[in-house]
Amino acid sequence: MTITGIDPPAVEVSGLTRVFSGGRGKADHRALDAFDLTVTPGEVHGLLGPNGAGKTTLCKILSTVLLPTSGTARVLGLDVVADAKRVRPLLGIVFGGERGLYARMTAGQNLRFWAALYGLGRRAGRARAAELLDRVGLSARADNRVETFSRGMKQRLHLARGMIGDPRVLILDEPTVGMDPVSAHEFRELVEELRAEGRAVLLTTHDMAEAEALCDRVSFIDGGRLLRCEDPRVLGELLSRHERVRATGVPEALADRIAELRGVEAVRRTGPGAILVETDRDGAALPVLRMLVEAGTTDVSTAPPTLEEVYMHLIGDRGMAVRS
Amino acid sequence: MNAALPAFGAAVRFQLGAFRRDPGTLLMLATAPFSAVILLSVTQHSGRPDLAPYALLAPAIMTAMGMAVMEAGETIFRDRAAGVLEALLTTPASLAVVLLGRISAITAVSLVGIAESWLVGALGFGVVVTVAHPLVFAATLLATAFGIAATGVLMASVFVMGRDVRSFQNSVTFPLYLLGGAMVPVTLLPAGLEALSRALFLSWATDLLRDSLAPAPVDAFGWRLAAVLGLGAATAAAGFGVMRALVRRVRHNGTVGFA
Repeated sequence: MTITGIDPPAVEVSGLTRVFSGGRGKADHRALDAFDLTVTPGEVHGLLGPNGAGKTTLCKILSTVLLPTSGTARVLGLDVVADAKRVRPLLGIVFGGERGLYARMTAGQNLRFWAALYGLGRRAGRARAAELLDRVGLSARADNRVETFSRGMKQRLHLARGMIGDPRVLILDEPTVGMDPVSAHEFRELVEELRAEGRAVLLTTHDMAEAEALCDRVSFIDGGRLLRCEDPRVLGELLSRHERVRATGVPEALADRIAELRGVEAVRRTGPGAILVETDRDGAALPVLRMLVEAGTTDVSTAPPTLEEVYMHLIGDRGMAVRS
Repeated sequence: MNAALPAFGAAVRFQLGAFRRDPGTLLMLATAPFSAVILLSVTQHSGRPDLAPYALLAPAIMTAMGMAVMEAGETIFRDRAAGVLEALLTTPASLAVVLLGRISAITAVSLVGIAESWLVGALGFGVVVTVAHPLVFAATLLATAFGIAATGVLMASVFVMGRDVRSFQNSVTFPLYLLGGAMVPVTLLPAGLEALSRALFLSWATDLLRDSLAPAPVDAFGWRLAAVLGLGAATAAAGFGVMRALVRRVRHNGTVGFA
């Protein structure tokens, strides 16, 4: 199915704020703070942030499970509060983790049940369930109880459940958690198909490589605020520019020499003779590696920065300025 | 796209399947015959065999109402714990419709308690209670089942709000049995309680069911059946209204997923 000619954005969030009451004597928690976001039809938009950043709160508001404290959120032009009933048929959501399925029912029974909740009659629901089970690679396990599934298989069934209503906007809240690499690869192909069908996908993840591979744009969120909205190629630059080198058995003098190399941002002592070298420019890791190897160091490894480290760089580079 | 009818049908099938997957939900049907034995023992050995129909009807009605209320709470409790309640609220289907379907299936199955009670009377005590007015009995039973399912939805809506549903379930059933005339006819209750009981569909229903068993003509059947149906419909409307309000409240509080 190709969906074209849709004028309003798939998702349009403006000044969205959600405050959770802390209860008697406890401070309130501001999970979202004047958050802005726009996702266009057919776009795969990544939402990157650490635990507690506000990603799931945003997903819940968009899926009408949670009311915002202030601000607006629209799905295909419809307000998620005032027009919640009209939003629901347009939207599919896959919550993270293993929750959201009936464990003692089979995969097929689960999907047929959820199909009925989207208004599909028995025959249509049966056909749709079979089609989606095939699409997520679970046809052979259609008659097995969900409680016998691995975590990755449950995630795939969650995806099928999210698509049961043929949604134009799909919200995936950390959908690849627990998937093995092969399943995660297949999942990425599935998201590509959804994009090709013109559906908008809002994908929350911790995995920057996944976001880089899948998304047309990525938004960084932390503390309920949008830090930056970027083309994923910027992510790739950040990942390569801030590459880290770990090594052990490094004499103090060698560590000092490495610190003076061009592109080396910092050399941290992480233990006796152990160092972590942080770089801040593309290709800077190579001379570091060469120097270590020439000095006879054999325990050397490189790694991309963690999401939190990228945040630190982002905030350090640009402050808390919001872009959209 | 109206999801109400498919959702109701799917919920009925879901619940019938749940009985197969988890027979523990039918436990109250196993206790109904014991209640019948207790009550029949009292009426038979106290020289009041004329009260046998009362003794057989009481455990059947208590079983039906008890299963509806208990399973209404358990449904919310289990769905919330499994993270399904959140997912249900994202669908176009009304949660109240889904619950009505599930509780309707529970109520339909719970009517097996009537057969159990009658069997206890016949096999255990040699007491065979005939239904003198079968059409009145059948019509009233259908209306009663509707009212019981509606009560289940009303109770479930309250359970959406709280986490400690079990103490509420246990507390609410006994007053329902008493004010609904399931245990004793409400005409035998103190005047104030009888007036209060008339606001419940069940008090009209149990009176009619008992009258349908006796050979005497049933007075004002139409009006009394209308009272059962009307009060049952009012209960359903209250259930849907309270459900809508409380779901909005948990969406506001952010406690939909709290288990």
